[in-house]
Amino acid sequence: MSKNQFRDDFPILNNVKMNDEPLAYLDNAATSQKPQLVIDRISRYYSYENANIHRATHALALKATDDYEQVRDQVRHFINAKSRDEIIFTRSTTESLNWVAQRWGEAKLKPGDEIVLSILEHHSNLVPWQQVAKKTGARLRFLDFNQEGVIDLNAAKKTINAKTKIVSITQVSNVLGSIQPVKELALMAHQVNAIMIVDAAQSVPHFKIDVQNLDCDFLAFSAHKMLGPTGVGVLYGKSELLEKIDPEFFGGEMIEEVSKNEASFKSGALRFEAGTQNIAGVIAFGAALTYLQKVGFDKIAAQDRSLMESAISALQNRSQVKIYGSADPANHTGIISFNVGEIHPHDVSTVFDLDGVAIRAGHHCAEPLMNRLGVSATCRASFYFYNNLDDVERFLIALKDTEDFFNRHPSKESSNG
Amino acid sequence: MGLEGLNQLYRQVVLDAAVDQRYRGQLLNPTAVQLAHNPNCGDVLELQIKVSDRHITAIAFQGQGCTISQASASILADLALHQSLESMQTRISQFQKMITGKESVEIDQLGDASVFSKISQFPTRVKCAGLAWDALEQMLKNNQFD
Repeated sequence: MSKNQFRDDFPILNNVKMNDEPLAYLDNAATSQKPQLVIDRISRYYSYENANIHRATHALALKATDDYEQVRDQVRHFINAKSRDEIIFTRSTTESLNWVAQRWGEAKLKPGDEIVLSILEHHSNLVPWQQVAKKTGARLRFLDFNQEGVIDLNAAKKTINAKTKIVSITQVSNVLGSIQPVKELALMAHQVNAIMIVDAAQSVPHFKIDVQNLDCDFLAFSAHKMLGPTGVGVLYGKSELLEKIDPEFFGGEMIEEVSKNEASFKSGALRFEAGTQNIAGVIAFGAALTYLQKVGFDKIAAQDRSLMESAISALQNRSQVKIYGSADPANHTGIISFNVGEIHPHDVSTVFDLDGVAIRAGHHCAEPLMNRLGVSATCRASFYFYNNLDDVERFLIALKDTEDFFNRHPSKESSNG
Repeated sequence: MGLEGLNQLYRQVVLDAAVDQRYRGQLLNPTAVQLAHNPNCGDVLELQIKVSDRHITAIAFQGQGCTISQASASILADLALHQSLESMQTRISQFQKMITGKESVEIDQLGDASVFSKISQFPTRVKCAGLAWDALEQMLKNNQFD
């Protein structure tokens, strides 16, 4: 088996045991692991570089400000935004999406307007819109998906109409791993003068995003799913839209000039970043982006593909296993949701846990999707480029242990009803 | 821990109780009904009881769930039938202390439910084991039963 050259960069992958077994970490859709250099970057900032940004005139603060702002440029290039003013640092994808829902949705929507989502959405791209709909009288409409787990564009053409003001869709399903046609949906949205929002939490870690090519109006993602620290998110917004939004928090960092009765605000993204930000987190996110670019999306895609092909073809030979979503490994983005016969996902994941294999069981914050699939929960294994075929092997062993254990202890026929 | 831990968690009595049908379903004219929801997995369990003279005279549950939550509900039902509300209060509190493993506790009145005495070693499953018990606790709190 060929050695994965990246594994040694991640201390947790080589040094940690789970339930006395070497860790096989397959919960990357929840959060990725962090390479040593990202961990070191946080430590270096606090050890030698700690200062507040944007205000002080001393050299330490200038360096911290430069490093922080450089990450904004890095993110801009990473997703090919037109301007650095289009990149706002938040705490998470969830905060980014809530921000758009509240700052744009609540301000612009009127009774009878329509918000178009898909049935695949993570709760964080659903619940904020439910709240906006309640407050404004706007109506939610949902796009369904086909057998491949992909939104049906023909149905979307009928749903997206003159009443549509917002279309907000995940680019990759966090349950099925299926890739959604957000570029085509953005075009449809713009044809009716609606805005297009993309939840890119699961896509940005896996493939190259170009916001100008997608022509989306807002795009949200999190640092922690792409090797960065927790507590840092990004909201991309087109300049012409951000200019129409007033800041929501007021105070330090975001003001230009303050008198006793009046204040003026900074321009661009900075006016949305009130108060002292997660400086260490953003700077370490910069280190994560540099590392990811060194790895390269070609390698990431190739590894995703190889792991998915190997895992899915093995699972297709297991008669008890049902895989949700596409039969095509290329349409899984490292994510496999499955069930094992009638065994409850929590029972399955406990066997995996004892085998040292970290997977997720539950509704994955996507209850409408679970209902659509006709299940209350699934198991989910999610891979990243530092996983290798050994991890797939460990996954299959845990699956066999699950089947063996519960087949040895079969459900007794009910004696009475 | 490794796989031998599985045998600790899924003892035969648990596996049997998980498929025990005796208390599954609904009661006619229940005195109280309580829904319990495990937000981690989306499992929902509905517990129903009939109470007469402050004793549980009938008990049933329905819902989908994992082996642990279903077994625990069956075992609870079997234990609660014909018991006084007061004695169940004591048992619920014993059970809850036992499964969280926070303090050593008398489990002499728990019967088969003591099979979950090691579940605190499986923290992700404590909620599953406690689901039906939490539902009964809520019922006793929310109702007067006079």
